[in-house]
Amino acid sequence: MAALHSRLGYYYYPDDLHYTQAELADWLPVLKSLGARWLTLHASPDRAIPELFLRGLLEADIEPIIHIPCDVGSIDADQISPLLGCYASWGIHYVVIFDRPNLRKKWDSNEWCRTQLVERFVDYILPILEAQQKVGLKPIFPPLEPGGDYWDTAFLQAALSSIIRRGRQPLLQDLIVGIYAWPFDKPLDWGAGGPDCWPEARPYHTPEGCQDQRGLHIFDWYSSAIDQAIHHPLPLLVVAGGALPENSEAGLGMDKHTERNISIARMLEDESIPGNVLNYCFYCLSSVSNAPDRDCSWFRTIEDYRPVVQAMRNFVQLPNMQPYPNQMDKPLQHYVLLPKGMDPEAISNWTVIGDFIQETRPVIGFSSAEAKLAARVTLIGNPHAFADSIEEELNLAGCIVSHLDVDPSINSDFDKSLAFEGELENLPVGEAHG
Amino acid sequence: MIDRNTCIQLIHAARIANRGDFARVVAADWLASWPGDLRIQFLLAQVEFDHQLFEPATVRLMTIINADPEYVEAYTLLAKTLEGSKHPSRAHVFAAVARSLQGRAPKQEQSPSWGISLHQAIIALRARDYALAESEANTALSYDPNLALPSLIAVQAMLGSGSRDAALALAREAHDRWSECIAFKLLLAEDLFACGQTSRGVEYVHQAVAEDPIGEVAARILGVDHPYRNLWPDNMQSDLSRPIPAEVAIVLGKNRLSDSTSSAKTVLTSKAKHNDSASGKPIADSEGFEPESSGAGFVRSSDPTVQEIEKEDDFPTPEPWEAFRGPDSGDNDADLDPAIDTLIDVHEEFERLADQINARRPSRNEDGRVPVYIVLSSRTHLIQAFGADRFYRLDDAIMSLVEANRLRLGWQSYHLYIDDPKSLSTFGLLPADPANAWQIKLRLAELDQSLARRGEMIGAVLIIGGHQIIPFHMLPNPTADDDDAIPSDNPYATTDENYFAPEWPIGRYPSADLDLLIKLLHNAADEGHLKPDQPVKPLMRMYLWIIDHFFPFLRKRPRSLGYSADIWRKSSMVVYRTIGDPRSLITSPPVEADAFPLPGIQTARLSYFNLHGLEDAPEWFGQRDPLSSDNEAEEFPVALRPQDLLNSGHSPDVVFSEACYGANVIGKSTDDALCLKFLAEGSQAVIGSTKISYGSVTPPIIAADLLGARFWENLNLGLPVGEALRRAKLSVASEMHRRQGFLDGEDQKTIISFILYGDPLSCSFQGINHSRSKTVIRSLSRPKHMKTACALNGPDLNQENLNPDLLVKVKTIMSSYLPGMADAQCHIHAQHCGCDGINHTCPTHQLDIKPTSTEMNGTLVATFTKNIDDGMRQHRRYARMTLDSNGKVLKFAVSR
Repeated sequence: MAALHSRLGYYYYPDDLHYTQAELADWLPVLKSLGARWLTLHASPDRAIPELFLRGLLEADIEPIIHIPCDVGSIDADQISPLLGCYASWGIHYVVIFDRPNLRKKWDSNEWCRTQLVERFVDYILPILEAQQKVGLKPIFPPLEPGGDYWDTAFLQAALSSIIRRGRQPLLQDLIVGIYAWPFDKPLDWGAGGPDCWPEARPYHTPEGCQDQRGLHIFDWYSSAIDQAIHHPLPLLVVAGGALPENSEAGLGMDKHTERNISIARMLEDESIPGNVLNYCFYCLSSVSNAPDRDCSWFRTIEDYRPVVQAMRNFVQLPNMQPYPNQMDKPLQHYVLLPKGMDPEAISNWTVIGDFIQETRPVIGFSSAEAKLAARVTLIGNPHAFADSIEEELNLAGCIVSHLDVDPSINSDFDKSLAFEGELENLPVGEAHG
Repeated sequence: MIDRNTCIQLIHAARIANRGDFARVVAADWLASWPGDLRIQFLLAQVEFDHQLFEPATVRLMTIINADPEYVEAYTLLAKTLEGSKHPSRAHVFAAVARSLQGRAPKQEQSPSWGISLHQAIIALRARDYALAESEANTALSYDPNLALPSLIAVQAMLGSGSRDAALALAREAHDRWSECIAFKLLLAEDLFACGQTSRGVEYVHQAVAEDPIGEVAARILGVDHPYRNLWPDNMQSDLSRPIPAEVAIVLGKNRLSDSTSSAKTVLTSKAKHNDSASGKPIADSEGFEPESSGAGFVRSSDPTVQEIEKEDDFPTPEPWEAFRGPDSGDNDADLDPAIDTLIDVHEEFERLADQINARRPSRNEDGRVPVYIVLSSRTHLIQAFGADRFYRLDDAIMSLVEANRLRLGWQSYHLYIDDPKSLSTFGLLPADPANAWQIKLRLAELDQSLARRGEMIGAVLIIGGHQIIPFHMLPNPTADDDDAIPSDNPYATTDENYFAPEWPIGRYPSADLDLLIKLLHNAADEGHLKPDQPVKPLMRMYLWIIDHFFPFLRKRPRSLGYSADIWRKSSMVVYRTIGDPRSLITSPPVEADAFPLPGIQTARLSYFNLHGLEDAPEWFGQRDPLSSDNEAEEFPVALRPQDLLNSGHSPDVVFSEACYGANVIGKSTDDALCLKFLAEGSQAVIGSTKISYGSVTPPIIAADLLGARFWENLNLGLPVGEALRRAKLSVASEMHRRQGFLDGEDQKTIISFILYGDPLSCSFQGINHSRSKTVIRSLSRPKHMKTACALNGPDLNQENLNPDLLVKVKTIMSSYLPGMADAQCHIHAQHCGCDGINHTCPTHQLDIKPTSTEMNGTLVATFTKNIDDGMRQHRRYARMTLDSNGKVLKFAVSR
């Protein structure tokens, strides 16, 4: 099993403007608190990320992934080689050149419309991969857009076949494939098993009832495409991934954003995400106020962050990690745990609770033992109504725990979760509701 | 950048404006970015068809129908091109297919054996009778027609009837044979997806994108909502490498004036420049224009009759021989469409628009291809002369000039090392021997043909280097003087043998001094040196028109200088008055080199010299008028020396010299050739004669005088200097044909011996007092031969053989005009048109003009020769007198 949280990572800013020492000083503690072991850094082909910034990360045991998302044909190996040499000399291992070359907008429009698109892309990327290998970096095939204008699995397979055909087998020994692993709006098990499990899947048109690579399990599909092309697996590097916030979930209980991302983190730990996936970088830590990706950020400022941040902090701080039971084995999706011995004043606003229950349709009870059977547990009530150990035990049982204090004045996107005191009792398993 | 709609509009407008060259450029620029755009390929094929380029059109159309076998118009046009290229049987095949696709039964007598079956299959398919369609298609396929269409029909029929496996099997087989067919690719892609071959399937779909970037075929085969739409581009643009010509702009402007699509405008179709081989009538161009967005206003032509819009120009009306049209081109007023009145209305509207935008209207005979400025030299000879390192400096300077000329509106420019395969391979030419003038000339002719394929033509030529770099043509001497061969650049200015009628302006930088050459090239490349055609604003045009017509005395002329030998000052005044006040003409004597007003030469922009020259002396000489009162003056005073042109860089911009050997540079340097000295001192253009030149003593002016007068007149019109000289030569030929019906010896020698040293497109000396800037014009038609006369062979009729009265008359005339020549040696020959070349060489024989016994019966040419000692030098003088059979003096020319 991989080292604890060893694959956990994040995507820094989606720009190359935040590489000062001051920002490193601000973000390092945050990254440590989030258990970051990988950090994707958006870079430019024209100037290097400062060495001090990178060394700071390396010394903090965080592996930088430098991503230069330029358009196809905008740079060549001769232009980028000096930069690659610099990064390699500073201890960097992963530099990703280009971004989503299977998208039409990443090419000149008349270049896109010429035949042999993949071959021409290999003409561009091959010298760069070899340059990376030459200076000691890992050669990384750039991430593709899941699906995309030129179907990504076809693109990847054709490109790898082309590399084989050109006799570049030594390159394939070290090659890593960059990927984007977005779950999109799909369940987290979407596409699990790859094309072997979903043989009816077609490019551009997935039949009703079938699944495809446009979900979290994209790695299964890519692994299959890689195997078809070169007959052995390749490591996958998740340049960016994670669930993105959905506005509809703001306000009550644990938002899906938090739930899904923590679930992904758990999947990293329990190897639901296979071992050839080297990492998983959640997108994104922060961005500038007028950036289009602003709503995807986990942090508005260092102090102002989404609930997922605390949830992740809690997740990574759990000691003595045991293999978690697979969340997929839990019979209950959601359990609302009410405090035992609750008096009416413990919950001041039952109306809100009613709305929440109407919305989420959980099983409701007073039993922590029952609650352990749920994938997600919401503790409702006054923070002091539950024992301190309740939450810890639920976490150990593999539950995603959240708190809901029904006082509306503190129900905001970025309010901090509260701890409750309570008494844990072994209660008989109640009848499942709802 | 232009988008696709604009591209199509431009092509249509260019065809209407009879600018097929521009249409080809637009299409080629678009196809460079989007080679798979079948519609533009088709439009380009139409343009090629218009220009009778049947072979490339055929190849292009075959490509289209292989990619999209259901492209109806391509079959129709392909049938026409095959008819045009004399392949009627193949034409019938494609005509039959076109009819079938249009839903019409093919003509049985002209249809191939499978034609009927194919037609039935198409009809059945459209009627959704898939079983019948499949059956008929299979029947057609059994004949193995070499076309993808029957297979496609069969596949579609099988799919319609549910036989998917059979359809895919046939599609695979057809794809193997016609791999360019987009429809087969798309069908196979879907099959590959079904088989799990994702990578190959997506590649096939992407190939369909490349071969059909508009997505028309995909929409037809897969439906408009097919799932692969994201692969197709949504923003198609390309660069346009040429500015839009004025004629095309007019058409575009006209189409923006109105969005009416009334039938009255349907007559604005492109001109069909070909004949129906059967009927001699223009072939109907049934291809109209696709209706574009509301702003374009193009309309589909329902009337195939074509009508060329007469365009006026304000250039001198060409003489009949100059406007020689050749065989009947098929333009026959009687065949015109009855809507000619509407055409006239539209034409008048065009005229009004052209006036508004100050567009020059080309003549009917004007070659509309893009003119190309060619800089010609020999790499081998330049390296031999200057060394490899220094050659590269010169090469850089040449490229600077080429690049500068590319900035000239409507021009292209190339450099050509005649012996360098690298510079010739672009045009598909082989290297030539740089010492062989004739080979070089042939290469230029081949270059012109090669340029024609890309819609270009030689517009001007500049030769870099003197005789040792690119040799002069040594043409036979048409006169009975001591010149052996005449160094000339005229043959480099023609595509055929008729070097009396140059087709494009030509100039030369003849210096053997590398630094001077580089300086001349850089000067020519200077921005201020090039005057691109720019329209003059309407108010200025009106002002200049008023000045020109009512107040010519207000017109500012460039400062000019005229310097003549006193003996022929009267002729010189006639020439000089075109550029200056005749009263300001300087004569020698009394002026001599020592007393020459140097400030005059330094401030003049235009200079005219009518002095004597010698082959072995650098100076130019005056000559005393024997009829003047001052008989004490020196007979041949030195009028101008090279050292008189001070190193001030202020030489006149343009120098025209009638002096004998005025342009003789073989074996000369700046110290012993005034023409080279002028160039070194900053003159941009020096025109002179390489050998003995002739002129008149008194008006009417002839030969070199006439050439000078015409040259200055053309320069006053705003023509570039090379074009002014070229037209002056044509004008001399025209004038002499008018006067006497042929070109005699001195006429011929004038035309071939006068050469331009300088950039042929130089015009920076032009003032702003021109109502319109001119361009180089090249005619579509040209005379194959000039009517030339020879008086070199035959018996030498000595004076004793002449009628005594005639002899007296001749001597009297000689004494009157040239007293010193009265005792000159005299040779008399009969003059004749055409020549058999016995015992001599002459241009008439060289150009294979056969003698005719009835012409010039009894015309004689008497040539008088005398050496005149003048202290240090001997001046050899010639006089030629042409007499008719009655003894009337037709012409009297004297050497300069």
